Amino acid sequence: MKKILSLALASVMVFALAACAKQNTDSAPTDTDAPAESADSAAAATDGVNPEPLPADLPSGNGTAINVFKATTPETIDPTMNSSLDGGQYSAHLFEGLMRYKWDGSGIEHGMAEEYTVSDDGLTWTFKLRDSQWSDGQAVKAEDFVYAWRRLVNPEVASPYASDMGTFIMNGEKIIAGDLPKEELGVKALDDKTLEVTLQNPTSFFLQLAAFANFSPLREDAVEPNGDNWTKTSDTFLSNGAFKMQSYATDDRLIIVPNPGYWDAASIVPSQINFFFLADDVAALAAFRAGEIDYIDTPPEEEVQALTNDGLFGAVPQLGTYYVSYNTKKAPLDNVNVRKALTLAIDTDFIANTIRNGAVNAAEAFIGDGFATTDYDSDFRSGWQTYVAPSDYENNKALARQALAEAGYPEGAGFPKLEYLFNDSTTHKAIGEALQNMWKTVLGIDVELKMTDWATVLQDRRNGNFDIARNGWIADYNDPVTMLNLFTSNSGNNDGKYSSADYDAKIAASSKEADPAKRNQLLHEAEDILIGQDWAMGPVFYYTITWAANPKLKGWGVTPLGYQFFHKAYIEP
Amino acid sequence: MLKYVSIRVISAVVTLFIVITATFFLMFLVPGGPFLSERVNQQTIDLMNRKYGLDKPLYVQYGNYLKNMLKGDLGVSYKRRGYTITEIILEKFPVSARMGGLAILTALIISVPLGILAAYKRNTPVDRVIMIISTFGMSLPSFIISVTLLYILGMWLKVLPTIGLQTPQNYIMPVIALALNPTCYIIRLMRSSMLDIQGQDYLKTARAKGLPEILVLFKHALKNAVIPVITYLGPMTTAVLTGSFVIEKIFSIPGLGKYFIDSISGRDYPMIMGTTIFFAAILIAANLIVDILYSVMDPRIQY
Repeated sequence: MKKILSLALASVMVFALAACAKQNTDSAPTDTDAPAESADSAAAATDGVNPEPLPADLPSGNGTAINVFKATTPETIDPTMNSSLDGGQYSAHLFEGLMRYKWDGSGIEHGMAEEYTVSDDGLTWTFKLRDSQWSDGQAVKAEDFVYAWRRLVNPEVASPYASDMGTFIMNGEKIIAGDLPKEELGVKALDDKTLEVTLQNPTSFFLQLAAFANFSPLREDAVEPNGDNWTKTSDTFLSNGAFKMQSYATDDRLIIVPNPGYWDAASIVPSQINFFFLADDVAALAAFRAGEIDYIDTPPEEEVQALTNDGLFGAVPQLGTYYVSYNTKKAPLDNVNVRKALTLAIDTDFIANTIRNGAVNAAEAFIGDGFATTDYDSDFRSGWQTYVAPSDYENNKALARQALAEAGYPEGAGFPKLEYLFNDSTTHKAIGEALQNMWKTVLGIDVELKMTDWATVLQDRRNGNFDIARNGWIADYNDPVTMLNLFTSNSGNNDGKYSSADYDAKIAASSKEADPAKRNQLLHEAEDILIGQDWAMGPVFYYTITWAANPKLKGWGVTPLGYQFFHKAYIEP
Repeated sequence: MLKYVSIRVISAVVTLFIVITATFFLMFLVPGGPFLSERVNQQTIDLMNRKYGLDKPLYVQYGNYLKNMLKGDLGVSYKRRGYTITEIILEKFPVSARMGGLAILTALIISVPLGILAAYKRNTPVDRVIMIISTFGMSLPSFIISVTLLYILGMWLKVLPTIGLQTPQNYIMPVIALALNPTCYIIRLMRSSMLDIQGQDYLKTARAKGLPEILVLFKHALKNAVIPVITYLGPMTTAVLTGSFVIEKIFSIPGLGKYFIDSISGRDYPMIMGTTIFFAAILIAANLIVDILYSVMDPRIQY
């Protein structure tokens, strides 16, 4: 009970903070003719979930060493090759793109780009670079961006995120497919300090992408001679961000220290950050309790109560949704009413607040709270309908039964047995058992649980070898399209093979739409089709970012995308 | 002797070949793949499969693997970009081996004398206490020991560091956790084989000649009684030296142990092959050394 209270209190505080941030921007003058001016402040409107507001009188210069546990050894710390959240976080400390994430977590601001201009059609962006140095003292040049971005779409390099990110840039898609040489990518160095980017479509959230790890600059003379080996030691690992590598040991730790040549080096507080790579969350918790680590990400769920009691636990909403995929190509799940019945029969409130102990928020839609509208002035969710009301389960149950009867299976009579596929984990299992129980008691439908290892689930899900499957998605950037793209007919992650010409048309139109209000409307209409009309998926809960932190650790920030920033972190004496 | 060793080496090569072939085809039977991920689309997966030759028919891949292996090339890891299998094994194995070596040493130093003591004090309280403790210690799974040590010494008392192997103190908990099971097992092994030989004629003779008991023990009894322990040392050494999945995870030790499991769950095919071959090779070598040791310890055994 105590914990629920404190969580409730924490979320109230978070919302209060978000509200503050919003007020600030609302009162700020917004000049639509000068997007360069408004980008910084506007992004803050919906991103503000900073749990530790930065104190005004930060100790400057050489602070203390900070010990952090984020995850186990990443697959890579090469920003081009990165596709993971932990890798993205290391990148956000070591590299800096044209834009950077604000270190208190409240949106984006100018990074390597001092200023920029956009053409009227929203396609051509010209960035003026700051004077800043790589970790070896050389100046950061526009060519470094050109090199890195071409590498991202180079099919020989095979970056896992090439199609997710590279396709925003002009000709990216064709280059990835091998139909054009990489030199045809829409990025040019006009001179050492000027970068011209041509986009495929007017992308309203391009500045967000410009802060993403995959769009970091790289030094050709560090990468090319060393191939995949360039990330291994500080001799060859050159970075342009606030920090540089001191040492890197897989299965052990990544040690980073301030980069003296970085343009904003005076703002960096810690003398050193040690990112530990632990493989076990019990080990992480023990190290945290022993005082060897100041911050651990996602502490074991069974420890949340104890950590909360000790005032060490924290959580903020994350942009992402846990949901179930229906195989829409398989009877009886090809029937919209069956999918509607299954979705409404899920007691999301019970799953979020009882099974997950209130550590997550019950979902009402696919796009969760915290996503920004296209012009970044408010929350995408506010002022628009939701599809499932977690608080009115009785009504949901009645609607579910009605839908099932309309589908031709009153009370579940004659309904075939289904299988629910999920990967091996105690949480997924508990949720699977709850779903099984809900579908049985509300709808009279028998569902068998199938738990296998992660790689098998991925394969089965992608091959359509399932009836209903656990699924989830975390946003790459703060725009609803990062989620909605999953359900277009040609999406590789459309596991349920949902296909709707109307839906595809709305998404396609949104990518060409330059008017923010119209684009926002299109995205809402798309979500209406996805759930309100076709019930293509069943939302369960919105993810949260959870942590345990040393109460003396100050000055760090977290974004709803899931990155933590320790650029200004210090240990209070 | 030389002939025996060469026959054993040839049979080891054949065994290795069978292990390689079986593992290679079995691992491709498991569904899933190394590049499959929620975050990666099919186009990219195809691209990566092509890059690593996984788009070719299985028999071609097998042929290529054998060819490269004979050249000493075990391939690159699919899950740790930029690292070759040989590089990972060479970096991680010494860590596991150092810790494992300490554990084996600790186990032998403690268990052999205790086993002998228990045998000499058979059916006395000393014997019973040793036996009760060793039975208990043998039945404790290593993760229970590790987590208990971690909680008590690391988290509550904060007397020992919990992460990695930076200082000598770091070794204490993992070495205890690794050594406990073998120690208890060897105590029992040593005790029973000491008891077995007590009635042997050569011991009676030695005692009848009036040799002091200490000489009887070291010159005559121990040499024969230790053979079952040596037999056990072969597989035990292999397992302990190549690292323990559980213990390395709990104490955050950058050893080889977790690659045995992680490579399988991640479908990192070259890593699965690499760890399997490495483990098999060490096991075969350890057994060969054990066999040679037999003939050194017991002249009746001739090859």
